Amino acid sequence: MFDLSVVLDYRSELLNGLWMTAWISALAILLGFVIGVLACIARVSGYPVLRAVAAFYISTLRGTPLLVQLSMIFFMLPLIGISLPPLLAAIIALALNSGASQAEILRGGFETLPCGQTEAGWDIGLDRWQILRHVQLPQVVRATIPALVNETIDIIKNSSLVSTIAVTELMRIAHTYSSTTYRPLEFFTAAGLLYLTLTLSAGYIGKYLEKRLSTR
Amino acid sequence: MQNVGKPVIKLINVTKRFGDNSVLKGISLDVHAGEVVCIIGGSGSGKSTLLRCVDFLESYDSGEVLVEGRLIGYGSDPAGNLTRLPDWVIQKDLANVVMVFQQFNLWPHKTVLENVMAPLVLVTRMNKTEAKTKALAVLDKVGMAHKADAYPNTLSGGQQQRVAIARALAREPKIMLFDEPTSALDPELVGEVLKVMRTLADDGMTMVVVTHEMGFAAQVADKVVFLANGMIEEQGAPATLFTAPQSPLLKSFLATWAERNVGFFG
Repeated sequence: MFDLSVVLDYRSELLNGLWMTAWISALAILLGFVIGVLACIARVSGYPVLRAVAAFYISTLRGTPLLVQLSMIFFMLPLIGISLPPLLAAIIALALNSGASQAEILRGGFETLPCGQTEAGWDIGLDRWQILRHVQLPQVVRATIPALVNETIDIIKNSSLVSTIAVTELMRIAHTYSSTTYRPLEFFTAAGLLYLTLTLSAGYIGKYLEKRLSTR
Repeated sequence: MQNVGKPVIKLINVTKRFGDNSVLKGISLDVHAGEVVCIIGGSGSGKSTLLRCVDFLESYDSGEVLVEGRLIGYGSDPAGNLTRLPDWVIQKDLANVVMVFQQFNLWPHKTVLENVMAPLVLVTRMNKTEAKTKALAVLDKVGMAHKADAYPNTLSGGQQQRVAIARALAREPKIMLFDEPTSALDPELVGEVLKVMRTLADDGMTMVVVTHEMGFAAQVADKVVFLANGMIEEQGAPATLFTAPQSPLLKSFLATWAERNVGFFG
């Protein structure tokens, strides 16, 4: 008999899991953005080696399953003497994974920016980083908000995979208590609803930002 | 203003090619302090490229571009070979030169005031209050102070170009380059931009203007340069150049222009 109320006894555990999921995802998105910007710049730079490295990074991280990447970082790195705690490994894996996607999203944004925008910056004396920070990125981010929001939603959902390396986020909690209580349906339904609130909120924040910034 | 002292811009046999297309085939030109030089010519004659080479938005292949006596873009490495200078050196050498673009190139995510303040805060390292005062002063000069808080997209083309001129003026340039500054404007908006440019010329600004506005060239320029096929075909004072053109190419260029405006002149 399906009775969702059984999860209520575990609400504080579930909410802790939700909180963990939320900030793992947030960190992964923010770090991924920094990685994405760097990878994107490297990808279009004038240095062939940098371009090749960036292209390799982007295609491998986008072309392999996150579960594989997670295992590589958590289980393979110790073989060469680098052992990371699960939480750190999880955040690094998610950030690297998201960085590759964000690099491609941002590249599209950079390509649509008229080169006169950069020229005007160069002409009045801004250096390369000032141009990036004050001229290019604000416009590129505005132009790619819908895609960046999609990426955020993907990362929130994909973060459930880090439960496999014993990070106690939402999925892990649901899994644990579904086996101790023998109520998997209820716990996974509850987890699903909580993921949905998170992804819906991300979507609404995105819509709000899009609307606010587009009036300019 | 006749050729006193050294030229502030000196081009010596400058060439530039894009692939197989030779755009500049050896341009030599002097511009003196306070002079207004208008560059005219058909599309593809190389006039915009020439201007962009002065500001090093385009690198040139051979020859020399000298601004205030400094070779722009290239320097000798320790072995004595000519190499491209780092961006910051080039920008420093060009600190007194600004460009006004055909498409204005204002930054759409910044207000008018923020656009004009950017060079002051980021390059001159002025504090915000000082920069704001200064920015409002240059905006006032182009008659745009009342739109300080507007975003560029809400302005007319003529207003945007005046803001772009203000942004350029904020750097207190000695030399201003104008790349077809009125070509993207609706006809009724051309006048307000030309008026601002005329004021700058009257104030003694050194200006190089690529333009199709023959009226402006005739009235404001000290020298008009006619470019055709990547070469200077003819140059001189507007009075002689427009009334007594020597080269056949210039004659036909002016005839085409006159024909287009025949309704006005009978």
